Amino acid sequence: MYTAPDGTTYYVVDGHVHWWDASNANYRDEKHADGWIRCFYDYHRNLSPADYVWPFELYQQYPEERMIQDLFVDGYVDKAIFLPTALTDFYTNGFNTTERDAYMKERHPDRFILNSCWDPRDEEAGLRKLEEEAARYGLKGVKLYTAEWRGSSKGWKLTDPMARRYLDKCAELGIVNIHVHKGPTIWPLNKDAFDVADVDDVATEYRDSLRFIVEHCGMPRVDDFCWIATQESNVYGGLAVLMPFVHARPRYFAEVLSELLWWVGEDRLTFASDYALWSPRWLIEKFVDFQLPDDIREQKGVDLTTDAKRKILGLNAAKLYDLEVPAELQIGAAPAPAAV
Amino acid sequence: MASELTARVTGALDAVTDPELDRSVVELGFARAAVDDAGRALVELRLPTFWCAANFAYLMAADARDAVAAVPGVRSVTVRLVDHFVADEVTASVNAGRSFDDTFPEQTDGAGLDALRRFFWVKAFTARQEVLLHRLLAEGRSDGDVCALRVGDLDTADPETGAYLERRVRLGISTAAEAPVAVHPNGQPIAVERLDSYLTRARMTRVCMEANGSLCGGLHATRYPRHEETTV
Repeated sequence: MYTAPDGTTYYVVDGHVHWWDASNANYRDEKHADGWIRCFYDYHRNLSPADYVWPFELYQQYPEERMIQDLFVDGYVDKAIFLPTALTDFYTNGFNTTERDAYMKERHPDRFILNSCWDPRDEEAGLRKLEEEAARYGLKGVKLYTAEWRGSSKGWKLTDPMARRYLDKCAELGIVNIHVHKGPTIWPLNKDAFDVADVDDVATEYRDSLRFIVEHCGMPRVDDFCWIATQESNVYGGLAVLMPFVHARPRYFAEVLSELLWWVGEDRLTFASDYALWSPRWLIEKFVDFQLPDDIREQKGVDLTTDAKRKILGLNAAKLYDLEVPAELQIGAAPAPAAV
Repeated sequence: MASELTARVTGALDAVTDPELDRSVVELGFARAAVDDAGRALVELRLPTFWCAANFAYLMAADARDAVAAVPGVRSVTVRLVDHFVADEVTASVNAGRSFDDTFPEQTDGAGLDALRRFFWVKAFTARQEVLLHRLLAEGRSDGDVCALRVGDLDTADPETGAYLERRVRLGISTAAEAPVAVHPNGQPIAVERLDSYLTRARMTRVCMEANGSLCGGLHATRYPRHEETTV
């Protein structure tokens, strides 16, 4: 929970966190493993306030205590959602696997929501594994990274026939939250890997059974994402990577957020730090403090109200994951009595 | 003499854009060139991340090669993509004149990059047209006035207008004096009653493209701090 300087309280769900191991000892394919974490580190360094920038070695592998401190002690987060990214071609034990996250979930059961991931190229064996994980962990969500490498294959699409089998399985098992993350490669490699059209297709097909949370709002295809989300009521936007713009590029943050509010709306956007890309503390403080500039409000006819902030910071994700939100943190709750 | 030629080569390179961002690769700091006394040009491409999409990187490398090769006085061109996950493949391929499909055999559907290129051209055209049409409206014209404008009514000496017209040409949209200004990417005029909704969507494309540019520019500056500049 975050209490703003004006006394307003916010229930906080961090919709996208990682506990990764990108230490040198875990490099399997050195070129790509190193390229991966250094790319993350540049995002971290470029968009974080200076006093939140970590040394590279810590960034490669951070201990459990650090993560707990950053999210739940310093970071105001009530619940954090794990979105694993396997990358087993790059890292010996994977980058951020479900098993790794499960260790943390077991030790802090009330703090984390454990999601898993699947890859249609794992075929029948992957479907069986998903069933087992659903039974073991009570999964309500999965993270799909369509640019994951598997040997010579550099990615996949949600509309691939085998992917549909997995989506059917998710619907059957009640894994209703499908987090989709596009990356820089796909099969075939000559197509736009960031294309979100496949989300449109499956969102229509699974309108009544699944929700699709498009991570990073489809960045760099935020415009195409918006166009889809405005037509598909089961498509949501995860704000990871866009959030740090609030500090580093406030004008662009205002411009893009106002477009998202216009096309997608305040009920289908979810806050995320993408930890350890960024730390939630400063993102939350700056976001709550943030106001859309007058010219943008007037031009675009949208506003970022306190209620909108409450929805984005936690209430929307709480609905997706059936989280119990204390009554006083709900919209419409009576304000807390002034301190005497 | 080499420095004069280098300036002309840089000028030619300046016309090459990052397809995603529709901005000059020279202005963005992504490309730089040097030419020796024998007229051999070397172009180095340094992108904002190790993971910029392979096909975007290839497009920039191939476009840079073509632009520099067309400069009078340049006898050969070598393009070098560095610090990138397909640096070696793209560098070898572009210098040998191989296509993208031949660069990554078995990993493409053989249809090349034309569709991707056109996809970005449409975005660039849309963003440029949005800026132009909003400016024309801000100058006091009604929606009807704007939809009635012809290319011949535009001030072609204005650089922004020039850049807009150039994006029309790429898409094969007429730039004849009698051609309507406000058009869809297929060249069909935008109906006056649709102008407002067209602009609302086009604005989103422009805003996203600018935000992407801001992110990529920042990442590039982080990756290649100015004090570490070296010459190629």
